[in-house]
Amino acid sequence: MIRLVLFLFCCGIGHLQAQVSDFEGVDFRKADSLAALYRGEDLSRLPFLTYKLTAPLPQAVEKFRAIYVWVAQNIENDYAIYLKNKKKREALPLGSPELQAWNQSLQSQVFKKLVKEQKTICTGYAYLIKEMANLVDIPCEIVDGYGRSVQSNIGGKGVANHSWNAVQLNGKWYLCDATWSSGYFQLPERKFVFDFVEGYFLAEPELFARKHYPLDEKWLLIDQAFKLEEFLNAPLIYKDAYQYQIIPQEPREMKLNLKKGESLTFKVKAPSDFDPEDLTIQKGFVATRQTLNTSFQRNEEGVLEANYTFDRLGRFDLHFVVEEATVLSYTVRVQKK
Amino acid sequence: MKKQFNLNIQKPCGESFDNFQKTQAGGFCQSCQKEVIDFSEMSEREIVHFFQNQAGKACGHFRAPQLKAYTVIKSGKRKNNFALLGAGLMGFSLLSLLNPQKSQAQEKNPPPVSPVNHDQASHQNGYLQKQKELGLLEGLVLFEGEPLPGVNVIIKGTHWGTVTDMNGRFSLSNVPDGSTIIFQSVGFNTQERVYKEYALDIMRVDFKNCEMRLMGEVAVEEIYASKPSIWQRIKNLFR
Repeated sequence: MIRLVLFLFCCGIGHLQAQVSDFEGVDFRKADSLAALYRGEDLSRLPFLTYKLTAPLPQAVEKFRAIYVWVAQNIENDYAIYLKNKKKREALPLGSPELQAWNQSLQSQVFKKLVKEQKTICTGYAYLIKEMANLVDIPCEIVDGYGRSVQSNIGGKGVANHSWNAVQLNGKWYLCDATWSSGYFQLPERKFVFDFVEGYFLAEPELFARKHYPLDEKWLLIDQAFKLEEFLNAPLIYKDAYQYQIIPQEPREMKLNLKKGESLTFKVKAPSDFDPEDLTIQKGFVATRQTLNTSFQRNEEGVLEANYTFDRLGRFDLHFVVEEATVLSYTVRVQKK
Repeated sequence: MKKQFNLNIQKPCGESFDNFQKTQAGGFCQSCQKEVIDFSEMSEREIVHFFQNQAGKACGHFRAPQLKAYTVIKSGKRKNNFALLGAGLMGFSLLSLLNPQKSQAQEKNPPPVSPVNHDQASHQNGYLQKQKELGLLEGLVLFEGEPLPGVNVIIKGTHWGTVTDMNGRFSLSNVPDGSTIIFQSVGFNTQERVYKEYALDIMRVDFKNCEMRLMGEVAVEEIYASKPSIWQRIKNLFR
């Protein structure tokens, strides 16, 4: 009976849980409360910490949840090392001896800082998740690849700049990103804000792949072909796309060059219980957005569709918005015929 | 660091020590052509010292009360304590009791030294079996040849263990035979070893550097904004 109530409860707030449906029946509240209970613990006695976080939990997915939430809520993103490393990784070719030498020298610094200040970059997070999961016999790997955000991997040839994890639960592999689940930096102050993002925990591979392209393609975990080039040039999605499970389908490219008077059909995948009226398209820059005069309808395939005719010249960005949260962006240039 | 060892005689020999030709350390036994060291007059401290330095097989003459557990308190000066101790553990086996009648009664499993007639069975000859304390696990963790302090040493499946000291050394007692021991420290790849009760060597673990690429990305809260031209910025002002 309690199971049923919990199931309904989970469904009721379904749009907040961007988790893989495989675990819909699992109640993560015990795992989350254990993670909260041990907030503030340091990393010097990692096996003991891991034991404490997981021993009272029966299922592997719950143990992994406790570990993941603890890491996301206790380890801070390190902006200083991020900047330093970014410059080097953009300048030096992947696999070159210079990059390897840089890597070596940075590594001990990263680990020292991780233990001392509980601050690190993505690879530090991925290392910690893997170590803790492995300590309780949950298979878990670090996956390196291309992370996509406003600051990286929009167009161009791609810079491998991000690490995340693949974890095996009940014989199946899942993907997660503890670095991005942890929170975000408020710019320009560069202040880190802890703000747990549910969406990157065991995300749908199709959605995950839009922001994470692995160096080893086997970690895409999707059936359809998805190449690096498409990844680099696709519309940009944000963390809130994970919250609402919105996946852009068409147009496939972020940069749109159109002629005046041209029409476009925007197609977007969304869960069956998502109300099309909640999705709007806004045009313009941050301070001066206008909502486009169009609306989304669900077509025969269950995909949301909206048409728009571009009859004004100019350059602008298009942002798809759900309840004031931007989920994805295109950038458009409309020229004379 | 304290250490314990037991001296006991498993198979006593039937020779009479008093009949041996006297030597500097004890007496010479004709039947096995070996020098038998006379421990019966040694103090406890001298016996402990002897076993710390002795390597290889030897035969000894003891008083019954001397066949017991000894505690060694290490000074910590010597580097190769463990190596010597390991060697010292080897090779003491037993020949016979002094008293011939008693030796017949001792066949496979000699009883522990029980109250006996002090005059007759108070002295014993023989090779000794020095027993390692069962369940004791001692070890050393190194990185590139240097001792590594602060490494977590855990018995897998429990929340029990210890940490390596400044010299990279650790010690755990009452470890069940066959336990998996986990060695973990942030920055290295965690290693495992299986504990064997009867292994005589210390457990040595060499840590290697993690082979990792440091990717470096962090989470930034930003919405994409293409740069507007000056003209567009002016236009925007009038919107």
